[in-house]
Amino acid sequence: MGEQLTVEIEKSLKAALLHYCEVSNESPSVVIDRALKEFIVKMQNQKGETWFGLPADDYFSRSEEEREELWNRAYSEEFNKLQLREKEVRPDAVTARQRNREALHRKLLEIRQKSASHS
Amino acid sequence: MRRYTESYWRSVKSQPLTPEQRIAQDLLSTPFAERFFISPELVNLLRLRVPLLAIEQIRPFLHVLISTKYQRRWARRVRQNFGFGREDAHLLSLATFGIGIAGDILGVDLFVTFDLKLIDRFNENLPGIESRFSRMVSHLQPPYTTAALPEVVTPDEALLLLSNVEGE
Repeated sequence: MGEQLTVEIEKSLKAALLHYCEVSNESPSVVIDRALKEFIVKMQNQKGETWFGLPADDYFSRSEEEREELWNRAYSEEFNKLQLREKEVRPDAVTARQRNREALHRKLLEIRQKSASHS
Repeated sequence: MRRYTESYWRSVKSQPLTPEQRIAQDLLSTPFAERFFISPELVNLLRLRVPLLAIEQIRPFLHVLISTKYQRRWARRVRQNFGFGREDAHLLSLATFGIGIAGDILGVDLFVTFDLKLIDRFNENLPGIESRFSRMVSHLQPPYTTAALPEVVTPDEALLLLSNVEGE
């Protein structure tokens, strides 16, 4: 038994999918599973060993600033594309910082003071 | 994450690492590495633009922080009141109002970045940020009332802090 995933698709796409399933005598799950696998393989083949679409040597020959710019630009694109879904926090959830907040902050101040006195 | 994926690739190819790549490698070699989180946008970026070989190495660290219902509100306030860019505001807010898949831990202890300008802006505005944050949180329902701002630190500072925690 595979994992379940609920997705929304366009009405026309759904009709086409159901028509295909009827003709091929396969269930939508089987067809979608196969299509996804083909899509993933295709993406992996396209990407290969490239970094941001560039051969590795080309990518690493770029300066730190240029590489940073590639990442920043790509991050902005993903940020614009992604519609973040919100998740409800569990009522019994605890804050990560609840336990060692004061100690961590004190230690950080010590580190910064030490670093400032060295420079 | 950029420095770490780059460092892995360069190590495999026996190429020298930059100091930043070395620090990133050290940081993700600590026993805490499995408690690191990244944003959903970064997961997509990695999947689509970085070689699989490099991603395989970071898969254990690919825990994603997911937004809760106050994450966007806090990001908006951080951006509008303290001049952070929208991506930075989003990430800072995710570190405060984000949760892992299990939904049992709210926020993170440390926000680790090489971006010194972001760290400076955060520290310079900290009193204002804290006061604005306290006001917002005081109007929320539990468990959001216990939300806390992360410490915004460099990878060097994170390493020192984590080695200290490790030693305790």
